[in-house]
Amino acid sequence: MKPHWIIPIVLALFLLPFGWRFIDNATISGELSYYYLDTFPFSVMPLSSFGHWILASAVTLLFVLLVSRLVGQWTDGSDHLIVLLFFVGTPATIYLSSQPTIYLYALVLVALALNLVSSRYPLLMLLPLAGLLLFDWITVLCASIIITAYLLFVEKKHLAWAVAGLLSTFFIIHSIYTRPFAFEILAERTLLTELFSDLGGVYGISLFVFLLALIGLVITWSKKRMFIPLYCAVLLLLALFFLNRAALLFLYPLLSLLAGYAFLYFWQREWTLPFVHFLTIAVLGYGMLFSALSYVTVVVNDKPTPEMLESTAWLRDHPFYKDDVVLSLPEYGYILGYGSHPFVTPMSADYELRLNVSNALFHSRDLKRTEALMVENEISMIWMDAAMRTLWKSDDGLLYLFRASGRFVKVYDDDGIEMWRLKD
Amino acid sequence: MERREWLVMGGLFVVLFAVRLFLSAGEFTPDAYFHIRMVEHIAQTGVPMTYDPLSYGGRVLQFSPLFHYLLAVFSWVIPLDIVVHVLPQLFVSLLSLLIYIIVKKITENTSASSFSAVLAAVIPAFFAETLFSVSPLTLALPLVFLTLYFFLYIEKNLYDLHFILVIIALSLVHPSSIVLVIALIGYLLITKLEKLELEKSELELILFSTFLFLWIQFIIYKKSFLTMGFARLVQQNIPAALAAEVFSLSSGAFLQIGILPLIGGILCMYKYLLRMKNKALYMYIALSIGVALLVFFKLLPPAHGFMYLGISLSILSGPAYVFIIRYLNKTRVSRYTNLFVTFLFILVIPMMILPSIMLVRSTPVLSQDMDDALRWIAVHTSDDSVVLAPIELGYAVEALAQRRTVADTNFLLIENADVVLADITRIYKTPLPTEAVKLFTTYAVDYIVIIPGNEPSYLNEPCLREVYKNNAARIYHSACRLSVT
Repeated sequence: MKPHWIIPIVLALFLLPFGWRFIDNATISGELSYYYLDTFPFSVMPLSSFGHWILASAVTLLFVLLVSRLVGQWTDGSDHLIVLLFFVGTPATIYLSSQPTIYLYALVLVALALNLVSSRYPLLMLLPLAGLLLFDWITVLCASIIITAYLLFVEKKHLAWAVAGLLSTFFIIHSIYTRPFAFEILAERTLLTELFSDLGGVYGISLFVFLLALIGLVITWSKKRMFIPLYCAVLLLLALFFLNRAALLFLYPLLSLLAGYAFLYFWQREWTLPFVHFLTIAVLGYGMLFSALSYVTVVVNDKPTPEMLESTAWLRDHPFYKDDVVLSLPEYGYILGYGSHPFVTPMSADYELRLNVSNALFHSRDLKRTEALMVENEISMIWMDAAMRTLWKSDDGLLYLFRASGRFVKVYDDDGIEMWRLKD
Repeated sequence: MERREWLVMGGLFVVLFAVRLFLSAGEFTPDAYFHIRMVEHIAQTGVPMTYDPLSYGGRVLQFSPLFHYLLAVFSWVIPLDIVVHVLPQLFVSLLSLLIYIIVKKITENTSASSFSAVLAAVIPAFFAETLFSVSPLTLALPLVFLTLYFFLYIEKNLYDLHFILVIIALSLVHPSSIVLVIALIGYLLITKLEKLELEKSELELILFSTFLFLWIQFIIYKKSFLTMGFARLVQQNIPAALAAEVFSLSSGAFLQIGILPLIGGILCMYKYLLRMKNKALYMYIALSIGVALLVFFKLLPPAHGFMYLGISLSILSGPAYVFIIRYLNKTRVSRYTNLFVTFLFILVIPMMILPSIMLVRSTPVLSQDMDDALRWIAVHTSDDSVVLAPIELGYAVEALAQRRTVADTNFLLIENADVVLADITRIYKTPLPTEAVKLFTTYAVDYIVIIPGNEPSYLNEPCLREVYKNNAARIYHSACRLSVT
């Protein structure tokens, strides 16, 4: 099979499952998508959810093609296709193609820069590097690590000044226009959960890819002099992942390519037990497929529902309530905040404090305390859906106050979603 | 093997099997009833139960089903009662036989093999934990050591196929069998560190086993992985209040593993990690170290970990026994060697058998009275009743009373397990009838099982009525409900 087969495979993987989601639920999935849609240039683009999804898929396809071109410098034919399949089937690629994220554009710029390094006009790489100045610290650091490693790998050390230039220019810009370390901060989860998509990590790597990548590192150890830049890049990106999980998006292409090479090694190696060879390849293949499909299922069924977005649109367009600060679960923060004013989002600087206030409000049966907390924190609206009701055992906390205090009025009730407001 | 050896092994097996059958005497721990229900379900429907309508009032179930399938198949030809009583004891008894064969292969010493086999048979944690249980662990333990035995012969014809078949079976028996993968990877590591040659087929089988095992666990426990994450899954989502108890290392840990295997195992590890090289032993050394680390880091309940550890250390005690005897033979006290051997075997009684008996006596089994009480519920209450019982009785209520429970000890995929456990504790402990009534309403409790020493103070409330009483339990019907106006 030739490597250009990757295009229909990519299109099938990116378009079919999410097309299925759009039949029932024409919304972009994932809470973080709404943070990006609200905050970054996507928000000024007059695109529907469908349009944003097609845009993400198209840009991811471009990213895949750029990576394919790089991989093609060292492999060909079916080897090239297999390595690419590992890259495409990784949950993080599926994430990039299905949910708007600013980091996808950073990855495209990095891949473009790497392609230009090996072109006839390597200095053209300065253009994508200039584009990276628009991003955050984590992007610039990760990009610098990858590009430096690549320059050392292809023995073009003389171009390393471009990376130094990128870092120093970014530092100067940062001293005038402050850039955050990372654009996104999600609710805290354990690093292990974030590292593996199979455990629920959004940017996570499949366990099989991770294991194979480790084996890939071991396999390439015999040529360690050549691969030292790669090892250093993986270690540094892994260290950055401990500071911010966005680094995983820059680490995953390296790991998935290593995993692809490890898989090829298993495939092509001469085995003393042929049936174990067959079984191992089958287990690895199924494992990869299973990880990809399970991630696709999660994204297809992920929140929000159209009803959730309808309720936020209702709130946003309401003549009296449009400026209300809304209390709900923190994981709904970005979705509810899409065009309105949430109370708790992980992006808040005082997230922990607000989380404590939310929990106190959810479970308090003391009307005076509840009112005082709401006034103090300028909360005027409480949004809840059926899932949120499981917070309470029967008639407890806020539910009790809604029913018994007479101080709350239900202003919205549709498809299991309710909004309650404190009476003036 | 010689005829005499076969006789010794056969004798050991028969004695052990008979003793276990006699001591277990048809009694079960309450937890055993979960597995009995699953076996019954498979025997009747042919498929494992994936949704349990009784546990927690209805919940999704995830478990490795091969052990239950095996028992279900036997129950088609032999009555289920006999199957659940005999087969687990048979599997466990076969383990000693296997240990004998493994140690014989490693040491080529009959006396050392017998010593290890006897030690393995009476590891206190293992003996007590498996005596009254119908647990997949009774099959997983022999299979783990059988796999390691096949690995010793991997170069021989067909042994690779046997190894693969047993690995596939193990992946479907119990998740704690992951200790095998850890042992194999540890073996790989120690062999490399010791610069010993590794057969190509060994590496291939280790890689295959690792990938296969992980993949199968992912398929079976995918939902738990996704909804609860790795950390909570490994700790079986046990609420913090209970996890401290389940995963804590008590001061009696040494006694539970057994003092003799512990000393023998450590001596052997010292000898073969620092002084000599023996590839076959590295698997058991890696298994022991791996399990100890898993228990220490609370990734494996000590109750399970000590069984693997105890048996693995028993195997390592075989070579330790050999080099101690060899050493004695070189000294001036060599004429007392036989006396020493006799003394060593006698030491098994106070150091292994007595702790085992103590542990067996403290193992909670379901009494006949409790059995009667729960069966009374099955006959005298309506099918849709909800029964509240202490969580350790949950499985027994579901199996014998066949009624919905508020909770049992399987917390996997239960979202608010902490809250449920705290509420149950509160129901039994609260001095306030209003609080109890509120919780009865929340969980729609119709019957409450009270065991002696755990009586709530509000039992004389008018809405509670005693409907059954014997020495082990009192059952109250609750008409208490908090109505919302």
